[in-house]
Amino acid sequence: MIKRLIGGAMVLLVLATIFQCSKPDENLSLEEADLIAANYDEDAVFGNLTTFYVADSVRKLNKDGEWEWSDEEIDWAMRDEVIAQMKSRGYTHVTDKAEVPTTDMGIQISRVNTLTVGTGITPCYWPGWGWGGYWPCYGCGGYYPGGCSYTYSYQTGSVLLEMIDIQNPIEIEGEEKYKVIWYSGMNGILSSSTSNDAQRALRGVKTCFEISPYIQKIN
Amino acid sequence: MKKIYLLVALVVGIVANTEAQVNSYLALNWSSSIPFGSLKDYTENTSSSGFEFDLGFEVTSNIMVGMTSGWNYHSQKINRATYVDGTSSLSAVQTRYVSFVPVMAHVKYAPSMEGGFQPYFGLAIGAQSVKYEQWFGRYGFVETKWPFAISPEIGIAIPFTTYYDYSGLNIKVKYNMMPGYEYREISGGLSSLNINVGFILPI
Repeated sequence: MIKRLIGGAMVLLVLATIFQCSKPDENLSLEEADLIAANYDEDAVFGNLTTFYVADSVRKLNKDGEWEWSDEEIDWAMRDEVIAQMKSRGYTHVTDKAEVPTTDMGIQISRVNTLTVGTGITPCYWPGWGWGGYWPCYGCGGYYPGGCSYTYSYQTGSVLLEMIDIQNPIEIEGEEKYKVIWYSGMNGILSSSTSNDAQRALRGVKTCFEISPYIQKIN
Repeated sequence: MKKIYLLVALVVGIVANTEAQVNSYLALNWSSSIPFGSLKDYTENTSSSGFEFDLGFEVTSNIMVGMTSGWNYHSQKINRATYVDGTSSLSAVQTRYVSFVPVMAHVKYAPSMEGGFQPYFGLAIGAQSVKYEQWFGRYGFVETKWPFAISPEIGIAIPFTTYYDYSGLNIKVKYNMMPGYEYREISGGLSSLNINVGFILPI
């Protein structure tokens, strides 16, 4: 009797355990699954900054892991939204490339693959990659504020906004680099290839700024 | 739902392939779970999607012992919000889940086994597999632990016939406690009140 009880219980236990193998995140809609994160350098004093320049093209990581310029309608719409958001925070938009060396902030928009890592209360999936050499200032190299480490994963369709401090380059390993004082990522926001992508992306850009209230010029 | 059918089919198979004996039983119950304490803070919704089964046998005319298992599940979705941690911030829809699979030994005491309604008291002691899930979008924390668990219960068996032979309707209330459980947003243990309704069958 006892053997039969234990045997029956074990079979039922195995079946019951199957119920714990769910994937609850699949219950989310695309919009609900959007994850938008931001981080900033605590040494940055955003209130004292005045001018910003937004790179005139959005760059994109291709299948070979190389950067290329992207020229889709959504790219320009995102760029316009970034400019509008920065203006709404009191900053002045610099449109002339020749004035970049005297501009406070540079912003690059990139379509990237995302990454993963976790500290703190959130899964902390900050997108990250080494700064490339395309930036219209000086062959920039990236330097991120602390907090997370970075690794690549390959979920396509994510968007990354990065803001560098142009006026305070730092030397790392004998090379002049520009510190990223703010970055914000929208995970997988362009991944569905639906007509809804544009709305999601623009809403995502707005959210990047909504969760970054410290980006505000103080008059 | 297919899993439930599979489970029921298996249970029926076990019963069908076992010689009927009046001194052992299988109770299969639908289970509703009301969260308390920090579990309620984490997932405040009452769950009505669980099940529970008891397998046991009679030790004396008033005392039964056996094993208890099953599954219960609490969930909650939190609308998009911003979470701040130091210099980082995150905008996400958060979904939370806690599920339980008890693996417990039970003892039940029935004051009287004569005639109609059979009230009983029970106590189950053992461990429960607790799966904690906290999702921000599609990224999340998932952790399974096996805390000590103790569950007092009170119930009543309503026999199908004029005498009780371990076949009938079963209704019981159980207080499920895991006093040592702690993980992320849950501290001070887990507790829930389960209301179980089902059948007792002799096996």
